Amino acid sequence: MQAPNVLMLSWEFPPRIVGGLAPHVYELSRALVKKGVEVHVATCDFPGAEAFEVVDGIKVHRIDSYGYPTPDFATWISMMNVNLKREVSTILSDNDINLIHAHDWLVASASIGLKHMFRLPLIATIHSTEYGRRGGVHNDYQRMIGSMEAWLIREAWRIICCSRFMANEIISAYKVSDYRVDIVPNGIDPKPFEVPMDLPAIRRRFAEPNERLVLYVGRLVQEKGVSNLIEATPFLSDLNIKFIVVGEGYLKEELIRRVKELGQEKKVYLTGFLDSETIRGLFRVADACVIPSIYEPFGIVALEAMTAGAPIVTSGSGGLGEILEHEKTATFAASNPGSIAWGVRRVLTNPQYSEALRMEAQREAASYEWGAIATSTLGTYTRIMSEYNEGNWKPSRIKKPKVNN
Amino acid sequence: MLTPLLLSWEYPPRIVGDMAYYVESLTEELNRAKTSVSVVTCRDSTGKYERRSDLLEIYWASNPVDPHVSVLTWCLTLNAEIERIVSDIIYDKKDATHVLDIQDWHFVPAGVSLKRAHGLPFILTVHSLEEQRSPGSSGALSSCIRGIETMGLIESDLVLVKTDQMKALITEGYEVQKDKIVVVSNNGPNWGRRILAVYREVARGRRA
Repeated sequence: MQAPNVLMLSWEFPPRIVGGLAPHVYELSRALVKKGVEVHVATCDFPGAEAFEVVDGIKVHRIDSYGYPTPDFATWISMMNVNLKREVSTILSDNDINLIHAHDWLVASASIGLKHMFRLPLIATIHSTEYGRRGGVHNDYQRMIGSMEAWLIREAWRIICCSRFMANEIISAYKVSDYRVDIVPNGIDPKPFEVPMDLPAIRRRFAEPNERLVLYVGRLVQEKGVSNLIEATPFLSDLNIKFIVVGEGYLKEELIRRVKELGQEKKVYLTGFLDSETIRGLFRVADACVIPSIYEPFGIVALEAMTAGAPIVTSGSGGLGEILEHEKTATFAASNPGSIAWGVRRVLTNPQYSEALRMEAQREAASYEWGAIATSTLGTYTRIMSEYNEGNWKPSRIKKPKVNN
Repeated sequence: MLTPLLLSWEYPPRIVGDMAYYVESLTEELNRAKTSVSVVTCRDSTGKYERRSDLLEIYWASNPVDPHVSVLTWCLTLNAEIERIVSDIIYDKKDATHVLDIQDWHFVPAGVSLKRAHGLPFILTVHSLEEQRSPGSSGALSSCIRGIETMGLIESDLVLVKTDQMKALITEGYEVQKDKIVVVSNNGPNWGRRILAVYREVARGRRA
């Protein structure tokens, strides 16, 4: 069967990067293009970025998403979907596209409207759920987002999740049949981690020569468990460690205050946002990378640490427990400060052990290259197209509009 | 065969204001002229379809998302369901010539997308404007509704209004050309036939 032409809908795509969706959609699209798939991406506009451009073979359509004043984020999302639908209707009319691939609830309304108007199969990748992100749903705002997720899941032909953990969450939270869910992990491109860099200079920038460097990379939010790492720092004061905490988030001010209260100002450095190259350099020079997540649908940071060769200490929560294996590719600790301190000490004080973890993790990371992920995704596409072509929902002809704008 | 598709957020028994009565009268007028009409509207009910006569079908949309945090998230989400219902009608009744007549701003986003997706002629009937309902309001909610009204006025093929005063308001306030706006009062005789003539004209593409 010929590879389908796909339209991806995502509210973020480089250079607009809000979280993990942008790099995911970019890397997956790029890998699909290499396999002969025609990929269009419809996304929000971004200052300085072209309204249409071809990036590594991906046809990127950036839609004006800020043209209408909106009272709040939820309404902005609704209007962004209106704008996406309006412009993508024209894109779908002008191009031979066979399948719509939506990423998360943020594009649910547009994806579902387009599915029905063009009678094209819809596939949804659910990267995380509102229930999981918030530890339950506690107010109408969160219930609305949860309901949007449920709607997208109901309307999708098939659902892709990045881990068995996420699949189980969706199956139980949204009463989805297991047979509709495919597990396709996130991928990693190892090449940027192999680029020659002045690694000693990176190390000097963040730590004294005699200090060990322990790294955290991620959003500073409750679900990432970063507070447990901060609370663990006093337990490790004898090891002369510089803790580098990279990222932004609503917990930042609270973490800064807590670091002061613990008297760890000289040992903990909250860097804020750093560029990707510097972060890759930090992974390469780190003596340990701590991933203390409480909720983690997948854990792309683990793939980055594995690829760069940073020994990992992790809670093993969610998808992390599927990527990593205790005592083989990482040290698993419980989600509390004492246990995390134990894990860090174990890695830092046993050079042979940490070297073995590092080597095995690097070997394991090779199986997550984007080419393999694209092949799995293509398998899901092919299955859907086969079912779609055999069914009777497909229109006998797609009408071309006679629109004068 | 010309089949108008009337999209309205109210239709009896759901009555919010005068629009429900207007749309009901319009369907009666069009039926009197032997024209089959489909009304696509909304109501939280288990019934999704009602055939009131050989010439009148009602499609009830219910919001696929619950709860909502504002009237805008409710309305804009409902638009996707309206798109689904209208598209199903289009795919099921390929022989009919459909014209969209959208009542006020609520289903303008669906009208715009359906026009682009299916090439449907799109008429916007303006009963009132946000500027009249919330005079002088600079709040974000009102501004957003005004933005949707503007989108409808620009993207529609024709604008129907009931009074010359409304026509003047739109031409002055929204930079819409006078000849795109047609006044048909619903008080005069044969007003349904006059609207039907407008539908036919738009369907023939004279104004598209």
